[in-house]
Order: sequence, then structure tokens, then C-alpha cells
Amino acid sequence: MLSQFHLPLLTRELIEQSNRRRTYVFRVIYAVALFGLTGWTIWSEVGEMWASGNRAILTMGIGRTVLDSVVGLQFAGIYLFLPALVCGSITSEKERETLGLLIVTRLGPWTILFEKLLARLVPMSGYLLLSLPLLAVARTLGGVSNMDIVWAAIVLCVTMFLVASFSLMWSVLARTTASALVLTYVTGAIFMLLGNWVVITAIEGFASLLTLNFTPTVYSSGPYPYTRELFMLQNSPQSTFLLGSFAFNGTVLFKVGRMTGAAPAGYLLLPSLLAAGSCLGIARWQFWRRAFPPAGSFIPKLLRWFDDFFHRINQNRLTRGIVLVRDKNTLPLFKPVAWRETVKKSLGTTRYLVRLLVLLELPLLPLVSMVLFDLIEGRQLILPRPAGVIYPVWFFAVLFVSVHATGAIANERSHQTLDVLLSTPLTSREIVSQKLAGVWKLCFVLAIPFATAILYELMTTAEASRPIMPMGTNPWTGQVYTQPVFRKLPHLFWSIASFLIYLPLMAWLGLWLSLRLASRLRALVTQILLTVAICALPLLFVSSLRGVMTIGSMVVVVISPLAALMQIELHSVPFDETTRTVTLAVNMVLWAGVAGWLRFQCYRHFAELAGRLDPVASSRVASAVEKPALEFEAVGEMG
Amino acid sequence: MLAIDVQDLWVRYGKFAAVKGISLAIPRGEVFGFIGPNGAGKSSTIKVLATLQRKFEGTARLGGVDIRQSPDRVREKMGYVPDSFGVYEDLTVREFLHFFAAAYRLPYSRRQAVVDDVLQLTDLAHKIDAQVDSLSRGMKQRLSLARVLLHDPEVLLLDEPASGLDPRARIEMRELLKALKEMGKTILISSHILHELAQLCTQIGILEAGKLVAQGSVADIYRRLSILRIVHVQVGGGPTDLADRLRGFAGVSQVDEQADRFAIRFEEGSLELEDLHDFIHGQGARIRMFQAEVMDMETAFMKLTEGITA
Repeated sequence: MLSQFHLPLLTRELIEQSNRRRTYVFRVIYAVALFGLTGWTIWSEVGEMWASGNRAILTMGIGRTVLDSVVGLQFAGIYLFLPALVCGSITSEKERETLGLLIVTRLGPWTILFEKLLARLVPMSGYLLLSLPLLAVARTLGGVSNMDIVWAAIVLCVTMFLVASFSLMWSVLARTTASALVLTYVTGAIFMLLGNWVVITAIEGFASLLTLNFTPTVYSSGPYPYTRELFMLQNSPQSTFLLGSFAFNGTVLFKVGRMTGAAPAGYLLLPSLLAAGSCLGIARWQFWRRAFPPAGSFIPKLLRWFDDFFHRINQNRLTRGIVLVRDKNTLPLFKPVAWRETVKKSLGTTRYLVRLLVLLELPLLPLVSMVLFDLIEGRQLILPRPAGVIYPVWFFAVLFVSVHATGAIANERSHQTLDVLLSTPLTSREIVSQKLAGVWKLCFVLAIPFATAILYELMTTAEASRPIMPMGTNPWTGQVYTQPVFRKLPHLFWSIASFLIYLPLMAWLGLWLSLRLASRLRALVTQILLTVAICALPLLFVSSLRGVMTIGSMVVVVISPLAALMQIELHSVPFDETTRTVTLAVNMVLWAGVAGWLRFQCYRHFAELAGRLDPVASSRVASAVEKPALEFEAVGEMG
Repeated sequence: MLAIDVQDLWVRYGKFAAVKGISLAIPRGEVFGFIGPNGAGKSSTIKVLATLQRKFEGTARLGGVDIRQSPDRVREKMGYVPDSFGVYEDLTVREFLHFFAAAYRLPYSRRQAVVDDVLQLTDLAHKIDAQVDSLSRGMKQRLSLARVLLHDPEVLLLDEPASGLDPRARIEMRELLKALKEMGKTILISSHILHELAQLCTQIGILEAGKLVAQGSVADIYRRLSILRIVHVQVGGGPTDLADRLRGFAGVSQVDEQADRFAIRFEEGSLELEDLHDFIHGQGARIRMFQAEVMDMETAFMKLTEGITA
């Protein structure tokens, strides 16, 4: 039917999607997660009271909580899944060298872009439509107006359109799907997390110059960044220039819109729509220029650009081109794979690692300086908090390690060099251990920004009094904040332990996925989704476990690395010192065990997964061949 | 001793058998050509010998070493070049060869000399500091051959080495393989460019749908298939019934009169070319051209195979 409307590309894409088994598998998983988590939210709201028999009254008005839960999950779905869906739309054509064939047809760039965009929006819309019955349940339970539901639907659609346009832009700009995906997540996260903060800080600074009196009001009903936007909007709704900060944060848009009412909220959609339009405009503008990008990945090019930049600024009267670390043009001695990973790869080369270090340290220093400045001035610390400094470092560290580790074997496969490497006398164990040499070097460099952040925390915070989040409630548990007792030595210990366990965990997980999955993109997407799942899902499950030190909150801190980090940094659940120590210790042992298991799997099954005959493995194969009854199954292996 | 000894080799991918009971016995110093259409099982067989096929049935020995028992020792004895060449584009030629010299555990003191030698042999010495991705496809192929020569292996396994090369690069490759043959290397080479194998190989095996349908020297295969050889002759003067006289000459099977020449066909071994030349000359004809056509491998291939893929 679609072909009758002359949408051949959309038709083809939808047929391809419908022929893939994973389309249906993802849909089922998405539906199960959405319905399961919403059901859990409802149960945790009313379960206890329900058992007591006082049912009718207690369920009244909880529709609002259900609506928040459904919309929050759908936002998570949009931010997590949609980039993975859209990023390959143009880059996959480039990788298969079929974009040229599309270009020589009568389809213009706008047509190609819109049909590709629509082809990705259709399945995502299907995911959003899954929440219709849940919205009906929310409406039935009360506390939700029709306008709330309409507003939720509008904001979700607008956010979906924005994220899809943003991802499509990177798909046009990047050469490979993997780089498009990484760029989408990184730049999207920067816009989402820092956009609000930068705009608000600038406005505050401007206001203070004009001696206007802005007293921040801290709300306590959810993740912190939007509280001050609420304040600003409520006090100056005409300040439409502020709205730019909402464009990339749909959750804020939804909450603010609901609180301010429909009429002013309508204006809030403008920045998102403008941002989406700009993304599509950039995609169209760069469509021809980036249709056939030259070979070579983005990161080396970026690093070479930085190379030139630093070289230029180094040529001055003061430094006179002094070079502190000079890369030696060495040849491999006894560990060739490790040599290539550490000397020839972008993220392994000392010079480039120093550049990376500078890139990570540069944003840290002004933040930390502001903290120090606040302390000297005797002002209350709100933003940036010392504890907040380490989260961006974690984000980038996990991303860099994941990108590097998932490429370890997958890149050899895609460049068709794996067979050559496997046919050398290097043992499987040597290949595995040398392949991660670059990742360990990267971790070593990442230790410096981590150390900076941790040391500043220790320096700027007095023992037993930590002015972080001085009032309000915990966004995850609903617990009212008290002044947490801050002990420097345990904090230092757990910070170092988390660094030494979580980053190697990411490295071994990346290598394992790189071995198991055919393409780097799949390995990277799977790694990101798994990381988000193990970090966030336990938190979501326990979001409604209100109360002090429940079993649920302890389980969450034990399971989720993110919860453990929040516990280390913010003391987010008000445990006593012993409980905190025990839960963190169990968490660390658990994930150290998982890292060890993944390491064992990589060493044990490398030959099997990479497709190489090893003496140990061959004996098992020989025994399989001896059993004629299992002839086909025993020797079967997809080539 | 045999350089390669394969007995009743089966390779399966799930329920699909890519190689069905192949047996090969290749003596040292031979150049064995594997011919077959795409999907015939050539690469699967070579992968078994290169220790890159984990699951197979039957026995396979390379240089007298059982592949299943000691794959690590087999890797020391052979060099494998895949059809994709398998070169690291981000290295220079020097770095690339030193990388594999270290992987093959060559003593560091010997590496520079060995690298220089293999570059000399493959005519890449002038490209030693060039980036690999700047090399032409033919040069990359020669570089991958230089790589497998670093540890001086007994056996070379070359999977479609001439695929995608231009005529000049193909000729250079052929000459290089001839030089390796003279050095006493045993070479197993797969290709679908048939006449090249005919010129280079001492033995060929024709593979179809996972089965070896013919094996032996090129002349053996022609003889077995009764393939006619062709000589093109252009004459000036001579008798008007020269064609009829040629048809009556012992050993000649067929004579076609073309616009400017005769195409004379005869069975391999039934007639010496010199005798034919003398006969024509003896009829009073002045010979302007006497050209024997290159062995017709395509005909042999078409006769032996039915276009079935495994």
C-alpha cells in the first residue's frame, strides 16, 4: 500500500524490519518490561494496603504515579533504543556501499532522509502505543486529567521526533554506525545533562549582574536538574529564551508542562521542534558532503586535529615547542599484538592518551575551582557539587573503555585480519592478554581524572559534614535527607575499589561480547544496554520502596553498580555505617566475581569463539566425532 | 614424506556438508592447484590445513604433523594467505613485517635481515616505509606473501591469491610463485582463473560440491578427458587440397578451414608438433604462423563439473 504513495524506501525498510526475527523479540521484551515495571509500581503503591482490605480509597489518585512511571519508562525507551534504531539508517548504506545507488535514483536527499526517518519512527511509535492500555489504567485510578494524558502523548511524540532527528543527523555525518551511535549518546548526554546547567548558570550570572534577587527553591519530587527551571518558569514565564535548555530533556518538559498548565506549556515544545528541525537541516546540508567519507575513523582524525592545535599553541615564546612525551617509532619486540594496541591505536598511543587526559581534566578543573570559590566565599554548595564531578568522568570512562574493548576482536573480524592472526604461532592466551593491553593503558590514564575528582572531594569536604543535597528527599527512595556522616578514609577506599573493579568489568564484558557477536556495533549496543540494565533496572524496581533501610534498598545497592556509586558519593540511602560497608563490600565482590568469570570465559573459549583449532579444544572435538549417532550435531558449526 | 596428507576429510556447517570425503596426497615441492566454482569447498579445505577450522572429520597432516593433535606445531610449518590478504592498513610495511616476525617468534637479531630478504624477493624493498593502505592491491598481495615467508615455512596455503588483481599484478604474482616453487616450497593454491593454474601447477584437483572430481597432472587430466589440442596454422602457397591432406595425416582428428588459417585438432599424445610442422612443410606450403593454443583448462573444467555448488 505504501508503494502507491511513492515511498519505495520506506516500503523496503518496513519489509526488511518485518522479516527480521529480532523486531518481534525486541517488541515482546519492551512490552514485558513496560507492563512489568508499571505493574510493579502500582503494586508497590497499593500492595501493602490492598492486603489489609482497605482497597477502594487507597487506590484513588495513584493514577498520577502510574502516569509518571509509564511516561518515565517511555522516555527511557526513547533515549536508549531510538538512537540504536536510527543511527544505522544512513551509515549502514555507506558501509554496504549502497548509498551511491540510492543517490543515482530519482529520490532526492530530503526524500531519502524523511523516508529513513519514518521507517525508524514507525517501530518506535509501536512501542509508544503499547502504553495506551496503561494510560487508560492511570486515568481510571484517578489523579490524572485528560489534558495530562494528551500532554504526555504530545511530549513523547515530540521527544521521539527530536531524538530520531538528532540520531539521523549523526548517521549522515558519521562514516560508520558504531561511531554514529557513540557520537549520538555522547553529544545527547552532554546536551541533556549539561545544557540545563549551563543555561541556568548563565542566566543566574546575568541576573546577579543586574542585582535581581533569585533565590533557588529546591523541589523534592524527582531528579534534581529541573527544580530550578521550575522556579525560573514560575517566576518569569515570559522568559522564553530559557526554553532552549528543555529541548533535550523530555522528562523536564513533561513535568514542567504539567505544572504550568497547557497554554504556557505549548511554548515549551518550540525549542524541541526547532532543535529537531535544525538537526534535519544539518543532515540535509551535509548529506552530499558526507555521502562518501574518506576511510579512517573519526577518533584518529579528531586526535590529529588536536595534535595540530596543541602543536600550534605550543609554538610560543614561553614554551618554544617543548615536547614532554615524544612517541618513539618503535618496532615490536616480543608482544606484537600488545605493541599494536598500545603504539598504533589511537586510544593506546601515549601522545593521544595525554590529549584525552587533558580533554577530561579541562572540564573538571573549572568545576572544581568553582567549588573552591564557593567555599572561600562561604556560600552554600548547590551546583556544582564535588560529588557530581565524578559522574561525568565515570560516564566518559565507561564509554571509552566499552568502545575500545568491544572493538578488540570485532575490528579484526571486520577488517578480515583475524584469520591471519589466528594462523600465527601465538597462543590463544597470548592473543587475549595482549589484546587488552591498550585498554589497561587507557584505564591507567583515566585514573588521573578519577584521582583528581576524588582528591578534590576529600579536600573540599570536611569530615562528618558534607553539604551535599542539604534538604529534600532522595529521588529514588523518597527518604528525607539528613546530613550524612562523611568519613574520608572509607570514601577513598570505596572510590578506589569501584575504579579497580568496574572498569575491568567493562573491559572484560566488552571483549567477551566482541568475541561472541559478529559485528562491533552489536557488541557496543549490547554492552551499553547491559550496562544501563544492570545499573538502572534495580533502581527502577526499588523506586517506590519508600522507607528507611528496606531489604529492597539493600538489594539494590548490592546489585546495581550505579546504586553503589550513589551510595559512595551521596550516601543516597540512609544506611548506618555497618550496613553501608557490608552492602558495598558484597556489591564489589559480586562484580569482581563477574569480571573474573568473564575473564575466564574469554581465555577458556577464545579459540572456540574466534574459530581456531587449539589442542585442548580439538580433543573435545575428536571425542564428539567418535560418536556417530551425533554426527551432524556434534560437528556442526556455522561458518 | 608427504607435505600434505588428507584422508577422507569432511567439513560440515550444521547439517550442510561443505567438504565430502576429500583425500589428497601432495609430495614436498609440488604446486597443487585447487580448482572449483564458488562454494565447492576449496576455502574450507584450506582452512582445515591452516588450523582455522575447529570441527572436521577425517585426518589431516601437514609436514608430517597431525593438525588435530598439534595445531601449534602446524602453524610453525605453514604460511596462510586468505583471499582478503589480511593486512593491517594502519601500519607501515616495515611495521607490518616486524609485527609478524615477532608473532612467528623470530630472534630479534635476525628480523631486520629476514625482512629485507622477503621484501627483496617480493620486490617491495622500495616501499618499506610506505603505509600499507597506500599500496595497490597487487602490492598488498605481494606483501601478504612476504609475510608468510618470514618464518620460512615448508608449506604455503594460498586461497585465491590472484582474485581481483589486474593482468600485470597477476603476472607478477605468477612469477613470484614460480620463484617460490624453485625454492622448494610446497604450495597449495586455489583459484578459478584456470589457465594460470595450468601454467604453474604440477598437479591440480578439480572440486565440485565438496567432492574431488579429478586429480593429477594437467596432461593426465587432458588425456583422461580426451580433450583435443588445437594448433593454428597460416600458410602461403602449397596445394589447394592441403586441408584434405591434413585430415588424412595420422593423429589429426579434425581440421577446420577458417578465413586465413587452419585450426588443426588432435588428441594429446597422438601427435608430435614437430611432425605436424614437417608434414605441412613437406606438402610445399610456406608456413607463416604455427601457433599451439594454450591448454584448454576451461574445457576440462566444464567437462568435469556440472555447475553444482555444494
